[in-house]
Amino acid sequence: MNRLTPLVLLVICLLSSCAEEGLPESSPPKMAIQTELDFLPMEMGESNALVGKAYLETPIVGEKIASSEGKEILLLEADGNASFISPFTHNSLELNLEFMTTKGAEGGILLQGAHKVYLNDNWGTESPSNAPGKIDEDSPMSDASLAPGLWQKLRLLYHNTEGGPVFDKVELNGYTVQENLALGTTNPDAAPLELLVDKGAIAFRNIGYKLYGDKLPFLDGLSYSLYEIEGRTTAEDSIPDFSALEVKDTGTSDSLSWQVTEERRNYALTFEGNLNVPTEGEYMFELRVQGGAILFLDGKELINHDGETNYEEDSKFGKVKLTPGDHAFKLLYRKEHMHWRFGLGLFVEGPGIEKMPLHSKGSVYNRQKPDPYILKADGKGSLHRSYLMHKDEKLTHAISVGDAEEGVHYSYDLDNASLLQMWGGEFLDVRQMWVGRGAEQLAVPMGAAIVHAGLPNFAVLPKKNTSWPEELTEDGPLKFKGYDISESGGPVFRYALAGGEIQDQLVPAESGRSLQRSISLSNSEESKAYILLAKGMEIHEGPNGLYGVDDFNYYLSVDGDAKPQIRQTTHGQELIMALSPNSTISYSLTW
Amino acid sequence: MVKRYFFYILILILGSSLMAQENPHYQIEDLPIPEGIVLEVGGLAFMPDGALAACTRRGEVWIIKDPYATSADPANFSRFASGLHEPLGLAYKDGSLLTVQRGELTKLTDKNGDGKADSYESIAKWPLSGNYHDYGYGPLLLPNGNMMVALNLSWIGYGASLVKWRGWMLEITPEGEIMPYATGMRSPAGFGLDADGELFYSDNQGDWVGSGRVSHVSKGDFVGNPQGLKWAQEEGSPVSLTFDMFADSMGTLYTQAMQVDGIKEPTAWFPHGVMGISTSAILLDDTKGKFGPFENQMFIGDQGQSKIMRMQLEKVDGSYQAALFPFTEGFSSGVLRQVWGEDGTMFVGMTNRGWASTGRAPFGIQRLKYNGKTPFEMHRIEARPDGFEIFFTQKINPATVRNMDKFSIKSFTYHYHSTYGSPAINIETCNVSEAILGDEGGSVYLKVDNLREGYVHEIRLKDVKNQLGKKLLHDFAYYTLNKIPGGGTGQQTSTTASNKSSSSTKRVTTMPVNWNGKVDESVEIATKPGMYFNKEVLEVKAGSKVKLTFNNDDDMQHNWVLVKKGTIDEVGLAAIELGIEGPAKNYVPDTENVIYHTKLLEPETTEDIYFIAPDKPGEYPFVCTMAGHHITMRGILKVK
Repeated sequence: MNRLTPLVLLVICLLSSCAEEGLPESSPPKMAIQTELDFLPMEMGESNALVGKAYLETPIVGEKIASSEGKEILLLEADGNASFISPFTHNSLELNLEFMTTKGAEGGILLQGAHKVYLNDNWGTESPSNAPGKIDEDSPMSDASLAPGLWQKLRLLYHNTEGGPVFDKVELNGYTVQENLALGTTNPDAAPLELLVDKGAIAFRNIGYKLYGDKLPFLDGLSYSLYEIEGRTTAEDSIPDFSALEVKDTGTSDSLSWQVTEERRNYALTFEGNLNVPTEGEYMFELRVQGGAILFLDGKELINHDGETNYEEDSKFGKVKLTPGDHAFKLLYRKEHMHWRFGLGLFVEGPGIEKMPLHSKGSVYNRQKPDPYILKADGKGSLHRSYLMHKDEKLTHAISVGDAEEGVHYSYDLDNASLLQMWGGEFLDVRQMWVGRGAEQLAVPMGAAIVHAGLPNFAVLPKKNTSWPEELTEDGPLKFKGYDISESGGPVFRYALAGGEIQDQLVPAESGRSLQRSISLSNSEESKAYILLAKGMEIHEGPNGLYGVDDFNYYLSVDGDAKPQIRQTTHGQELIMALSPNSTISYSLTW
Repeated sequence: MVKRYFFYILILILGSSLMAQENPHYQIEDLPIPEGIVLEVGGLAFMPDGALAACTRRGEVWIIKDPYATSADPANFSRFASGLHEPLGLAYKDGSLLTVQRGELTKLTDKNGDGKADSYESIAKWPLSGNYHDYGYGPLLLPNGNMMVALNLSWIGYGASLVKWRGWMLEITPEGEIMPYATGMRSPAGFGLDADGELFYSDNQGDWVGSGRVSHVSKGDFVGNPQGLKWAQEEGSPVSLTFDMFADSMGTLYTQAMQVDGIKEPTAWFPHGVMGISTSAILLDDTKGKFGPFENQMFIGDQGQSKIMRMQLEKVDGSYQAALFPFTEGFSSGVLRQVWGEDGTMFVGMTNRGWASTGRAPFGIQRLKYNGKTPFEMHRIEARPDGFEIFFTQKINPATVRNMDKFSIKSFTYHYHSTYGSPAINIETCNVSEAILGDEGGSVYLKVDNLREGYVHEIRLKDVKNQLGKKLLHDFAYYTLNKIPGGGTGQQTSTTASNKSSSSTKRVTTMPVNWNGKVDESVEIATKPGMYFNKEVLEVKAGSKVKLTFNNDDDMQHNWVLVKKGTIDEVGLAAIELGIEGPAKNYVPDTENVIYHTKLLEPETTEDIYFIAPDKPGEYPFVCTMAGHHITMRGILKVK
């Protein structure tokens, strides 16, 4: 084995941006690292396994990964450095990484030297049985993988429990492919983590992890004071001036909960006690309440969550460095005036400490996630209009189109003539529409969706450097006219633009996870109409006309000789192309 | 014991079949639907070839080739379109079907003749807030070639107009130009034209809507809920009122309409619980007698009570008022839509997803068929300067109207306020001084002392018989009197506070002093959408001091009533029988079968009641007795 060269820190992990204070956190406590990740110290690997950039020599079908010099990416090859062993041993852990495979690659992650999470290339197969996320002999629930040469994201949460090892969750490309998988074996001894490749090559990057130990923080010596308050909580101000109020009752409590009192409305509580933390380091607190709350540690305000806040929707974070041992704890809390709405939750996460509640169970909502109500695609071009979440925005005039034969589906914003997302697998979960009143009216993809920017896809750009419009005005320039159903079954969307009509059609390719989009502009003299093909962080122009969009999140290739143009924007790059009147543009999206 | 059980079952069977034949002159028949088709009807329309088209809440449009078929033949159903966003209306015009999705008026056309729509043309699109309550209804085809569309308010703990044109009716040209028509709508699920082409719409009880009602709508009208006025200053708005003109409580809508230009008085009030709980479609009888003797009258559906009512309009001094009559009950699900078949049968489209209905089936289509034998009914009521003249479908036996105690008339109205619903207020008994037979025994003219404009007049007839000795099929009606012909002697009474229902030993809302500040058990219960409690079982110890908290977190009114075992249906029906007194009495009938109860709680409110749990362990049913809710909204208090 060669000696290793030291390595500087890896590129900033995407997740660390979530660690900013005040960002809403809507995902459940699990799989949501708020503090900084540790990154795998790659200097432990073979020096020549580290490269600067990595891309598949031939997109999709290549069996070799080409690379440049550098130290950001770990490249494992079956016929070279085929394995990487971590310098630490582990038990329970959370792991996030990105990987890229060659065509036909086989390999994976070995946990505790005993359990293997497969990362095999599964492109072109119809079955999820050997798809990435397979653990030992257990296949994932669906194939959420991407094509060879694209960067894929894996997140997993693994615990040694009393009943043996459990994979709480494995997410591939944002989609859950394993959940609560108990392996039915005894807990293995602590052992290093191993990345390995058996066939072809797999590149890894951004390998972040947290090891979870047994030592946990706890609240101690908690006492409370109860105050009665007139009136309602308001959006601006719910925490009262406690000095002006009379204490109605006091007591001690063995846990943090809004239920320490018999009162159900119009009251406020203050809690005081000690927070004991086991390890020195940075701690992240999350406060979510129905009402309002302010958290103090060591006499300093850490999180101010005043105002009428919603347990399910609002969250506030505070980060602080703590020494081991006791810290003065104080929490001011006002319950919402609506009597039956409750929720007082305080979570903490720290070095070696998984995000955990400091409150008691009964103090928060515990809603179970219902099973999906699956709408299967039916033939070619199943249509389904709905509300749709796109990033954090609820779109109201969206349609999803499913294809049962190819298992490739997409969503489209009819307001903006905008391809929103595309995915493979099952079509939609419509539980939030078709059960009861359908309170959210949301359709949710049943697969790992590639999410697009959501900007209007067509525009007239008076000048070459006119920036792409963020949104349309009420009266144009694009106007939705409807859609026709083509002979082959799918919709052809129609828009009025620049005195003519745009026709826009997306058809799944006959093999592989791919959509072909054809656009024409007819009856128009407009020479400055453009289509936005793609927008993303980086757009790589590949060797055979295949663009790797959004840093190889998906491939795009334009049919024929037309040449799109890459433009810099304030956030990344965009790929646009002129839309000449009375001609058709077509391009493919593959992932 | 077994025998007794059998007896009950027999009663149940008889009861239900009687219910189905509540009006024996009109037979309800099922249109059988094949397995696998979820026909939650949002709209119905007949095609020129006699086929029936139905759009569904799941976004499909089905064509039923033979709507008179008696078996569920899958070949009789073909799917014309799919993937629409909860379309709640359907119309046929010039070879296309027109439908209103949540955010769009859409024209569906089969251009290649394969029986499936291949063109989904967006005629007009409007914004949505993303709220579930953003329903859209229509289109109604207008004589001028345009289409009328109506848009619900959103529900965010109250009805709100979060984006442009929610709470409005819009007139839309075939080219897609949107012309705002009128506002003040809350949940305008039904609208239609009368015989003169005038537009009427129905609304559901809620905030600013004291009880269900139908209003005549002219361009520029404001009909009640101020939320839509947020957009009254927008370009194209024909309404000039402003949102800030409205305080939380405004007397009655009628008095406001008399004082302020642009506010429209309701044409007909539907007393909540008696004349439905959620008015839906409006259908004009233009069958020219094929459907019986009610030509030019209108039939109004009710989703929650699975029934259809009859409305007869009168126009006095240029403004509309109407008499309402019960018509037919016993449909299998929630009645949302009615259309005429070419043979003069009424096709009724139904759904009860999310809002339970008396008919328990989740969805369906039924036909209502006239048997050709004239029912003995009040045909119409006409207002007179000093009373009402009631016309019958058959000549009456004069002997049965001789005594004045055959007639009882009460008048009342409703609050106009931001609060959800209203009890009947200012209830007054009217003295009937004289009854004069007219029309050779075909009518009776009642002279009434204290008619009031702006008031609903409940008219009850007792044991009025026809010449064959048959009783009236329905013996009461509600006449909303907006104008007394000739100005009349009508008097205005100012609104006074409603009769606050008094607390009784069955509803104790403060902790009894002798409990010394301690309860043994605190139990909480709330609701689940679709008219259910969130808990099916509550448990308390026998004889314990109980504090029960009922959180009405639903978007409609509910109560919680503990009753004696086996009396849920009896109490539920007795609550309906309270009629217009229901709201003021919290829908709690005065019967020993009621053990404890809360008040009638508005949406998003809560009440604590204190009671001693029964000494005898066992199971005690609890129920919501808000008109009709007892069918689904029930549970068990286990006393241990």
